Amino acid sequence: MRKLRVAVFKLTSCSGCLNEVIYSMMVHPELLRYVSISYFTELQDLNAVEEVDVAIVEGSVVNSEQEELVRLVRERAKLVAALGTCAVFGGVQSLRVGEDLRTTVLASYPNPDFIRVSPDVKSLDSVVRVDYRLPGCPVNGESLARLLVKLVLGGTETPIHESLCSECKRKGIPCVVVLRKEPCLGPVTVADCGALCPSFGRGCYGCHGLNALVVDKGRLEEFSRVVERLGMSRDDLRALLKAFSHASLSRLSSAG
Amino acid sequence: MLSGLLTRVEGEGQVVLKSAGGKVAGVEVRITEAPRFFEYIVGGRRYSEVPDLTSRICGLCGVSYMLTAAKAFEKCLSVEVPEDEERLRLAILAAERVKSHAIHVVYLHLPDFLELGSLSELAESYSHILRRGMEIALWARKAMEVMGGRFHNVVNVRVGGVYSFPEASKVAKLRQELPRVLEGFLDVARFVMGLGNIPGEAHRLRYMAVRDGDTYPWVGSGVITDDGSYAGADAFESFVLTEQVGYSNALRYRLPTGEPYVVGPLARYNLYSGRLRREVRKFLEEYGYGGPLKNVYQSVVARIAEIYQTLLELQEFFDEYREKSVARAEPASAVRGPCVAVTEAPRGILYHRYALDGELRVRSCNIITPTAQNLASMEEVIMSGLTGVDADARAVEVAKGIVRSYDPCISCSVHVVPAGCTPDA
Repeated sequence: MRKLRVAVFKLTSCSGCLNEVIYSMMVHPELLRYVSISYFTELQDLNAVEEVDVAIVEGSVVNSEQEELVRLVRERAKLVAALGTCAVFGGVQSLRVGEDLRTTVLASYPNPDFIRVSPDVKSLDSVVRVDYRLPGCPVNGESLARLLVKLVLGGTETPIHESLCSECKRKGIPCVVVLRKEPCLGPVTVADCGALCPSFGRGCYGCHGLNALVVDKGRLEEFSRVVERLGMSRDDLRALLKAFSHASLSRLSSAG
Repeated sequence: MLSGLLTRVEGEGQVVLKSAGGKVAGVEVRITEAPRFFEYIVGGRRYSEVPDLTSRICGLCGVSYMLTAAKAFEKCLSVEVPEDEERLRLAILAAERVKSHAIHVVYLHLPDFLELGSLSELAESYSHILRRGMEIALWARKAMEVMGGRFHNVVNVRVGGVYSFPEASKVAKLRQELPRVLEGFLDVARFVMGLGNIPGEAHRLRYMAVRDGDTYPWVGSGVITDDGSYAGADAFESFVLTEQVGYSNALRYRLPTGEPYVVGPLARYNLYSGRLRREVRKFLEEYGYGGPLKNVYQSVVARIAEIYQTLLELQEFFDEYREKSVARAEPASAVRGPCVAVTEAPRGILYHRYALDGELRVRSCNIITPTAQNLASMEEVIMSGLTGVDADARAVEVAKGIVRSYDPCISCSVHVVPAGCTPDA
């Protein structure tokens, strides 16, 4: 069986999702036999941007060097997977978007030219075409493992688009909105974390990102009113959505 | 000028050797990772949201970032954390230390002692050790999932305590699996220590760790150095000297004397080895380690000692564990005193300071990370060994090996504080 050629890249992020790549190989040690890795600086010394079957990219794009790298990666990869909330939506660093970089941030550097960041924090798919999106902060390691196993076997991923609420229902977790009267972002958030926060008795804060296939501008407005009544201000909701769903939120806003 | 991309470390960095007449004359450990401006992005957020945000600073040690933030707010908002909830939080922190050290010892650092360059090579030749290492990491992962919800960005730490107690049956299962994990750990530890090639010549090293009550250190009232100097948490920023260099995206720190210092397992071990359990000390003595560690490569010994110590501490926690209902302690509505805290993250002292406004939203913030504190020491140790030697690819490899011994966490260290966000005003 020909080995699946994989490359793993990190852009701007905390590296937490890279650990899920390592995890997926731990729980499926046989993957190491069917996968060859040409780029993964966290794990190996020799790395080259070569032609690969799948490039896994963690992190958001925050400068032109990263844009160039991502374009090169896209050229040389048959498939590109955006790994984690940073790559899919921009990630928590998106909270700085909208501020004037030159006056607020770069002012603190003795040599501002050394820091190369753009005003925007971009998701991977706003720079190149992306084949798979695996959101999550961090991504669910099991989902990543499933994708890798499928690709090794020559299959592909069939994405499921449902909101977090369905996971609570399926698991029989009492609704925090109903039971505790606490705000919960579950209704507008992509499923796949296993309804983690509600299972610990707290509301979801949306780290798997906005379920953009279900949520449109009108529904988001309706949802804002609901959580406002539960004590979460519009500004605070907006900050959470910006932190974990920046790219989707921008698209919704520009959709008019 | 010769440079090498830092591999087998978390994040993006570079070591640059400067040469004069073909010999090494200078070094720059560059942190090239693009900043994410955390001090800026927590601005305006309510105190209660901050731990979930600071967790995102680090994919390897997020619990430390959450807990330090929570503790800073608990201090200034006079929150009394119930003892059982505090013990649970410290157990999550302990599981994180095991996870972080196990990953470094087995996956990132061991290839250096075996002169291999990658995990795949390790898997080919030493699959049994890798499997044992995996079992430790996977068990630590399960412990974090049971107690915190997931492997990182755990969801069970809040300002005031925890959100819920894990089911006693799940904790009991972790406890049941522990003997096997300990056995596997000892296999790995014996293998690494038995290689007998951990360098021992003395480096010039100064150390600092938090001062904790009477346990091996986790959280503390302040910091203590190897010469016994103490600074309370609220005096930490004025105690250390802060510097900024043009080639790195991270601030760096020195002792009041201007000397670099080391934080992390080596510093904790050298300051607190007397508090390690008897079986841990006995194990180390079998391999000739009794006194202070003098070489940064010996950090691996300190990590092994800490994994052992921490697994034993967790065993005690599991044995005494009782499922409780959470108290949901609520903070005072007004700020009293500074919101500061220091804890021991896996890589060393982690300092958080916040200022809150009248609505208890963050007005300013400063976070000092372990790796940023180690940067000056890395350069000093590299120069002590490489000054005047041929500036070639081999020298670059030696320099990279030294940096890797510190287990740098580069994503975390990228913390240039934006203007207007530093002073308490």
